[in-house]
Amino acid sequence: MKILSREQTIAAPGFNRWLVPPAAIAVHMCIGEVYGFSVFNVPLTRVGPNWTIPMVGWIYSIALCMLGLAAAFFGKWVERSGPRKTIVASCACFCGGLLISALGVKLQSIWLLYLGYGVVGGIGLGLGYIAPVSTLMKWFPDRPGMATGMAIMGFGGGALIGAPLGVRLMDLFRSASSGGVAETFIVLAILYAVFMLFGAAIIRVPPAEWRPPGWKLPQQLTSRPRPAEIGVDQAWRTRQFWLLWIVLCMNVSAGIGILGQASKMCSDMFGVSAAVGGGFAGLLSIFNMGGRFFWSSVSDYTGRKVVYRIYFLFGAVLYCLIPWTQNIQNRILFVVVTALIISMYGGGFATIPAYLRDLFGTHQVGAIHGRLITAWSVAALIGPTLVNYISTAQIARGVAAAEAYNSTMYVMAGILGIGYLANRLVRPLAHQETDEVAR
Amino acid sequence: MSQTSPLKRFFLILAWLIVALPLAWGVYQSVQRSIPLFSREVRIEPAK
Repeated sequence: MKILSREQTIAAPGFNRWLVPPAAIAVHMCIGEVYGFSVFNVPLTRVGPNWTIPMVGWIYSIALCMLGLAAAFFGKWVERSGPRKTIVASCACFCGGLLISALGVKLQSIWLLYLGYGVVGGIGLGLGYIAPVSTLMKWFPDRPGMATGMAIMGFGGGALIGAPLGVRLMDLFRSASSGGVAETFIVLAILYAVFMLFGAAIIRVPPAEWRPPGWKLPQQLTSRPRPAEIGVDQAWRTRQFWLLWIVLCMNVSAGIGILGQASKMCSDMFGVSAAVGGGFAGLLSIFNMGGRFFWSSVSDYTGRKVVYRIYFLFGAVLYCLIPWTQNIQNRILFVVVTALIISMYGGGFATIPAYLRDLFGTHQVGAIHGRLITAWSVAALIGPTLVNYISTAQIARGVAAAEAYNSTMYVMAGILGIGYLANRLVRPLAHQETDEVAR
Repeated sequence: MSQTSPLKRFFLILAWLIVALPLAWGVYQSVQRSIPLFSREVRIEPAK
């Protein structure tokens, strides 16, 4: 369809670039619902006769895995097709996946849920995640960190909306014969389709060589070298790409380990009820969202390397403080420390596209970002596994449940140390190196 | 590329409201749920 093509989305003179962030946020806010999917876990176990939490948990895992794969494989197509076509494709996959899942619930087929929310929905997540990011960086060459921070903040906010909305809708549709999950999936699919299509309708790409009025290229303003403009096939053969892959993987591994276990960890360490633990997890989601915008915006002033140095050094210190907050049983201090950690976890996600842009330019930054997101998929396995494995092993050795997480925190600090070293080794791409990889 | 007409300005504000209101609702829900975390009273989970 012509209306979806990149050419049709080129902004007319007089277009206000501040219309692009709401388009990006609308898309990310919808697909970010995946973070809140856990609210369906228990209701889904009541759908099929033998459905268990581990079986249902696979839906989320498949979706996140497909997010990484889709972003990596479709990155070049996204760059070619433009943001509008990609957002519509993302909407079709994500909302279609919800509808397939609703059918799966009605037919009591867990495989339809794996296919629907997991595979098809997961592809929608990957497409929707990278689609608006490179567009935003092209509109905001003067503040790329802030621009991507706004979009990726929407993804963090998706859980804040999706989880309570899902619970309320299930309450609304619950009956003697149904838990209301299928109906909730259908309503969510409709609501998310409206928001995502709104984003697709208002998004625009800037005309070629467009620059914000009065803005000059960075090398004329600062000592930073001008980024090379290289494609995804060249970029991922450079040392810089893999160093950034490690940077993202380590930052996410450490943060996701805490975020995934937040509720249980708070209950175990401070003896609070599950409801209070759930409130703690919700609070962390706010800092996850806010950190994405705050730290990414800060990086426009400090440079990306400095801000990642803060994530890794300050983050490692904060991880080491967690066992102490447990020892003195200071819940408020524990909340402050973990909130700061999670804000930097979110910040790591939001700053990475701008870091890529600094190194490789904006030419195919969306596709390069897509390939880098595989680090997230790997981290999603490393982080929670480490936390689960170490705390379980500690309890098996006779350590009290309240203190079982302490060793994990030192391991997480070590993981951040690896990320710090990788970040230290990142250097601007030399012109000679650019020529070599382009050959 | 600057935008000055009142209609365009209205549309810009509307677009931001469309995304800001659901986000604000989500933040409000989470803040409400987290209030007990800061209360002095700690409810201990019953031993299982």
